[in-house]
Amino acid sequence: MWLLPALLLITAIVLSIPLSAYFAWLMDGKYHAPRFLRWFEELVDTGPQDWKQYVLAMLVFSVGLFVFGFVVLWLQPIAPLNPRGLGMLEPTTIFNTVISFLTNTNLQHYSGDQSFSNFSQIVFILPNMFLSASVGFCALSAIIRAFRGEATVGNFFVDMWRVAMYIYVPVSLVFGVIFMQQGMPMTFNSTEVATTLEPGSMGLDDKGQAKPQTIVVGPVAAVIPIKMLGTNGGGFYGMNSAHPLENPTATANFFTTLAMMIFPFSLVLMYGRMLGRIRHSIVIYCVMLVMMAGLIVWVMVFDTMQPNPGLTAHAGGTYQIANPSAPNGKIDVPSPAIAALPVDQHLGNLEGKELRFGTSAGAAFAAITTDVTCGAINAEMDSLNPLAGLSPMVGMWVNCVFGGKGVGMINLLLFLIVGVFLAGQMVGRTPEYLGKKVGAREMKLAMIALLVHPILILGPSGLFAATTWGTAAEANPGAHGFSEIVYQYSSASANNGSAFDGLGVTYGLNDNTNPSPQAIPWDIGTGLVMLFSRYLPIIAPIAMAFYLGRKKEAPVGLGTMSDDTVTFGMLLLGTIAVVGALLFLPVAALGPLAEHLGPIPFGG
Amino acid sequence: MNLVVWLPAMFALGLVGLGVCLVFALACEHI
Repeated sequence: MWLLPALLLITAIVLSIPLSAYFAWLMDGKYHAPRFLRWFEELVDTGPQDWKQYVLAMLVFSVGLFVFGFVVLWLQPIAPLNPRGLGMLEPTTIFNTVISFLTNTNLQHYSGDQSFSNFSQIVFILPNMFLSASVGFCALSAIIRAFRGEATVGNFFVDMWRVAMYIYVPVSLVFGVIFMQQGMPMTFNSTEVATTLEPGSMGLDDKGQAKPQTIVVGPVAAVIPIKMLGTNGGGFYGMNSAHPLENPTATANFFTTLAMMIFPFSLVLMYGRMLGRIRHSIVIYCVMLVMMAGLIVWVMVFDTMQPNPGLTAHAGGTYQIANPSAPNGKIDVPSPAIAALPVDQHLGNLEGKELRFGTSAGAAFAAITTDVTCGAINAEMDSLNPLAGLSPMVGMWVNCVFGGKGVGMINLLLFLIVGVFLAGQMVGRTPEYLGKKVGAREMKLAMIALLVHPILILGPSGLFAATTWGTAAEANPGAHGFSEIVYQYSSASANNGSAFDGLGVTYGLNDNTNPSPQAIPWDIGTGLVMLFSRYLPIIAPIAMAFYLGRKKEAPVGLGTMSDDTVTFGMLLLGTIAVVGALLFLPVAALGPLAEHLGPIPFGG
Repeated sequence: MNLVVWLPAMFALGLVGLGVCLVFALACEHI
């Protein structure tokens, strides 16, 4: 049970060491590409950019991607590679989907195999996965250069080219070959027709003959490597990595999980290498590792090692609920005794799990995919035991347990700035980071960037939980339904993209006669959250790094706080825990904790 | 759903959203 997560962590750690050295070498411009590749690099090189020019280039590039994506999805009905004749997605779903893939979130309010032609998969999904994944990487590189005190922070287009072409493409090719060998489809065909082993299992046609099974296929092995390496998470199939053609074997599952870990792990060390402070980055790396190990252990203890409470026996009793008309403000509600269902649960909660991957693979994947903001899933999140469901939520709330490529490290820097500010206040010194004094402007920028995330989770969650937009969309009443709403906005704001499921958020194709009634507000609400939570927490830290980096380095004295010690690591961990708890403990209490402590079928 | 209304509206909403991000970037200079 523990072997899988242990092997994944060890392999990711080992691979992150050489990869981080390669990344630092590449982003410092020491790599000289062959002439046939260098001509394009020279073509896009518009010269060194200051932080504002860099940010402007990033936003202009994003506008171009948005327009391109919108047009491609709009043209799907008349585009080639669409033998099934799929129509156009509903417009709010197009908006949501384009923003989702632009922002590296890959929240899917549609089912990929049911709504997308191979043209849309190849021309819209694939380039977006490579390019949006590169944006965070580029932003971190710009921040590092700014911290080094450089007047210019590089060129966005050159950085984008290097990251996509010299990092993502070659590594994706390696993983693509592994996945094809494991049985993942790689074809331009849209469907395969198969005769079922059990005749008639797909029903009978008009002539009374057994229907064959039509299986959707396509260039799956081209999409899945970058889906995982770029921590994109958007599935070719609606079932994502639980689908047997998207994640065929236990071996494929191991490499799928590993793929989403290696780049976020490596980027932390790249930060230290490029700054010349490797010991400092190792401390940050260890803090992230402790958090990830803790969240994996948490979800496995409460899911893989616990039975599903909805299937176990419960003694009868009563519980109280608030009722303003009752004399003491509460009324007793009887809870009937429930006999255990005849389900063998010695392997833990197996509801919604793919057992071909192993009993712990679903729980471990749930923690990792939310820690690194990938958002792929290989098990049903909605079926996790209540307390286990807290682990993926915490990963998205703090959003810096390695996090997405580049942005996870950027988010951690915000906590770090808050940490050194608090430590400075405690000892009566002006806070310093990298030997430079953190002033009011840097603190304001860090706080703005830090607060965008909780505001964009808690505000819309409260609005939807209080209106029929949320209550009419949730599949479960009470605490579990509240968790579904909070999870959706946590996933959107963290640019994660996984779904707790249970929410009716799918409209589907525009001619769908039976869409989810609340799909439109969910499309627009999560679309805007994804957009703002992507760019604002990237822009403000780049500005902060520029203003901090241009300050003179103060000489090291007796009172200088060392940033490469265990004490500093504890300070950082404590800051993340305290700030995270202050921001999100109330919603945790109203969702997973209330569900665990509440009545059956889940609590009690 | 009326495509004549909703399709350009959603397209415009995305561009306006990105425009807000641009304004935010410019505002960061004055903080």
